[in-house]
Order: sequence, then structure tokens, then C-alpha cells
Amino acid sequence: MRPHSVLRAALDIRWTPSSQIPPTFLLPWRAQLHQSAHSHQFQTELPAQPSSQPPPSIPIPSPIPSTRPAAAPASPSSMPLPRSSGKPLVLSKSLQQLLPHLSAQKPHYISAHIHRFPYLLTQGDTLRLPFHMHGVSPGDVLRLNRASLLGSRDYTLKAGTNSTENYDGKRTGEPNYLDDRLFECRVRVVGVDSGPMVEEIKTKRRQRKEKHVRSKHRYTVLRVMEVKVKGLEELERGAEQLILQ
Amino acid sequence: MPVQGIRTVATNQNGLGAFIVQCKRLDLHYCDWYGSSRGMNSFLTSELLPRLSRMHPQVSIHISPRPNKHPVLRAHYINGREKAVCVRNLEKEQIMQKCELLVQSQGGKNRKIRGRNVLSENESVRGIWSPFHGGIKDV
Repeated sequence: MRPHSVLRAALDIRWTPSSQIPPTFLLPWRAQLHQSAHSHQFQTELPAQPSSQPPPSIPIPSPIPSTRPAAAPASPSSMPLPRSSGKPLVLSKSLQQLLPHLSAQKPHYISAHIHRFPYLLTQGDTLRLPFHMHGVSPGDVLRLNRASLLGSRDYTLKAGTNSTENYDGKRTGEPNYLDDRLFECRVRVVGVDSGPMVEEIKTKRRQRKEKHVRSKHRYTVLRVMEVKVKGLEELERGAEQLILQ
Repeated sequence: MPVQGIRTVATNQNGLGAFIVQCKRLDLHYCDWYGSSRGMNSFLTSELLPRLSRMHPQVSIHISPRPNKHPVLRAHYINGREKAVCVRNLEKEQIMQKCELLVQSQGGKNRKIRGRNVLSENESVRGIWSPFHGGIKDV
């Protein structure tokens, strides 16, 4: 039995509506994390959510406030659903054969995408994003659900055209992503870094005036908490629709 | 000679398991007489200060006068460094933003990082490539 389910069974928080769940700071933080495979459970497990929602273009589910106890509860309909919810999870024969080897061999690496850009991550890495992510504060746990590569020392799972979302039909230039039910990648927001003040001098021709442009950027720093490849049994337990080819 | 272990220093992996806010102390300095401290004084008497302390219970907030000087925010971090921001002539909302900025910071220097977004302490997962193992091709 997994520690998650033991914890849930012990605390009996699985199917209680959000009004009866104790406040967030009383729960262990692991209890606030969600499993993306259960979309309906995903909604009931999160007792609270920050009032400032990230825009839907960010390919990350809503941050889980683990350090801020005073957050307003919101209706579950406003919660963004996992990307691949509703579609059946298709596992090919080779994937069924090789996925146990991949999930058993640790450590794993993942090429996770944020705003389409890939970042090669392992557990414990520090990721300084090249932008300031709004709507999150230090201590929040995010789950990255877009990845194009997933691997260990000997095995690599690469996003192909089958059983993945193909963005090329929309002509947006998005890469192919793996199904987000196959893995779990969690990062924690550690802080907000700042670059140095940069001063650029702009000039025009034939005049002595110089324009000084000053800029100082802020960057969100993340720490990779876990990179996990799910095994076949876990996928069978979690997915509502599983097609074995 | 006995076998000696390799001396290493534990690396900081804050946030991997537990998460500790890096700012440990925030000093707010004000002046009763200077006009540049008007926004600071209204910040201290407004409800923004209790809201700040409620949002960040891990940070100890100290308020002290600094007569005949501009108002200053000074944050102390776990790594031993400190950051100071002069808040002269700022409104109370701007001072709140500066406080948030100091609390959310990690206390390091403001460095420019070119292209190195991921910093890793781990060994390479797939190992180092060797020309003598696997995939040897004849020309």
C-alpha cells in the first residue's frame, strides 16, 4: 500500500467535502498533494486555493498553498482540470513491457516544459526560471505536467505522436508531450531572486544626448522535490480508462 | 596511516523536504520628524503591518526609530547577509511591496546568470559517455 493512501485512509480525508476538511495548516503537506489521474478526486482533495489564480496559459495546475493557512475556499468548478483528463490512457505493448524497467531504475531525469521551454531536471535540482512567475509565493508546491523526455540510466521514454497530444494541428509549434498520468514531477517555490541593475546607454546619431535605460529583473527559483515514474500497477489503479494495446 | 574519509560540507537543499523561509529578521526604521518618513509612519500605524506579520509568521519584525535619517528596511538572512532598502518618500503600499520583496528573497547577491537555469548537485543520470563502450562503429 502506498504511503499516500495509508495517510489518506488514516486521516479519512478522501471523500469528505471541502467544508469538513480541517484547515490546511493542520494537515501534513503531503495530504494536500493531488493525484492527477483522479480528476474528480483532485477537486475534492484540495481544501483551499489562493484567491489569485494564475492565468490559464501557464501549463501548471494551480499552486497549493502549504504555507498560507488563510486562503479563501473556492468552488471546484473554477479549478483547472488536468490536461489529459477525460481521454483514455493508451499504453502500447512495448511501453507495457519496458515501463516497469524504467520505473524501477532510479534515479530518473525529466525534461519538463514550462511555457514551452525544456528544463532537464533531477530530484534536488535548483531551477531558476528566466521569468517571475506570478500568483505563487515561497513554499508553494507546483506539479509540472508537461514533459517530453523521461528517463533513467538505461531507458528513455520519449514523447511520440501516438497517445500524446499533438499540437502541430494547431500550428502553435508546441512540442509533443508525454501523457501527464505517466509521471509526477513536483517542484517547490523557494524564493524570488533578482538580477543586478543593468544600465544600457542608448544613443542616436549626430547628437550628444544619451538615454540611460535601467532594468532589473526578478526570477522565480524552484527546487525539484520529486521526479517519479509511475509503474503499471499504479497506472491501472489510478486511471479510469486504460487501453492496453 | 588510517583511512580518512573525504571531507565534505553539507549542501543546502532547502525545499526538497522541509521548507524554511530564508529571511529571519526584518528591521523597520522610521523617523518622527523627517517628511520622507511620512509613508513609513502611516505604514506602521496602518493595518498593513499586522497583515505583513500575519502572512509571514516565520520572520521576526523589529521596529525602531532612526532619528534625523531616512526610513530604511533592513532584512537579515540565514546565510548571514543582509539587504537594506531605503524607503524615503514612498507610500505605504510601496513599502509593503518592498517588504514582500525582501522576505521572498533568498539573501544572495544579485547575479546575472547567463543560460544556466538549472543547477544540480547530482551526478549525471546516464553517466559519462565513453568512446570505448557501446555503439562502436567501423569507418
